[in-house]
Amino acid sequence: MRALSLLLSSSVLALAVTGCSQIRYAVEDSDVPVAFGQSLERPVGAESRQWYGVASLINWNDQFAVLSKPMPAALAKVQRKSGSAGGVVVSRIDEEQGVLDIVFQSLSGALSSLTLGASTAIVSGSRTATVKASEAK
Amino acid sequence: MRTTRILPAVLVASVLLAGCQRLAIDSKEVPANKVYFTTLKGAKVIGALEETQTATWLFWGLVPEAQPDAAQALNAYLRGNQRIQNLKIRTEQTVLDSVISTLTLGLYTQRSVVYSGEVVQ
Repeated sequence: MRALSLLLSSSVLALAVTGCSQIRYAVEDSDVPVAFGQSLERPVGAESRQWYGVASLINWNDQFAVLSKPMPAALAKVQRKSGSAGGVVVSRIDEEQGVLDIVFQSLSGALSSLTLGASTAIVSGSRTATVKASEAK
Repeated sequence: MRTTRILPAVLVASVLLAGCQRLAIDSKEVPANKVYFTTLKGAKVIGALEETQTATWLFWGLVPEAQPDAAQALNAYLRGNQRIQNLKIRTEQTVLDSVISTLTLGLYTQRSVVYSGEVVQ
């Protein structure tokens, strides 16, 4: 009982400190400059789905490289398309809880009810992010 | 009776067609060559950028009310020849966002958008 209450209070504290269902748009390793602004080139959109678990604290994309993160996915797409190492311009970021995310969340909710909340601790939802980027000219 | 059947169906259809809690971070009014997600070579750091905006929706995230304005958040840090490097944007549901959504039963929902980075010259 004591362990359970400790687990609950540390979860609440962690949520209070970090926030939940967090999506980060950042560039950690890039050989070329990546700007945020408008570009004359037509942007390409790279979509990626962010899964959450353990009461929304863990962004599964950080744990599993099989799912792409929004920013690296967009940069890779632009560089594949242009083949140039000149630089990238990110012009727009769109985020939503799309149809698949809603379906997944509903299934997750149903499973949570069946397992008396145990499954919510593992998976809780997802959001879809689309980063529009183009080659810098 | 018919209305009670139609209303949920319309709601479900709207959610499936439109998606929920859509937000856009657009660079439309952000000046060109001033804001970077990467580190700028030879730039001198003169300050830090930390701005938070809130995106809000009505009716379970279906109707957008306020959307983030990237230019408003960033332009204040771009005086003269100042630029921004190592920009990081994160969106999240803070405890306050969750409390508000829960208290209003989802009729009013919000999500925070946080901009951080370094101001350089």
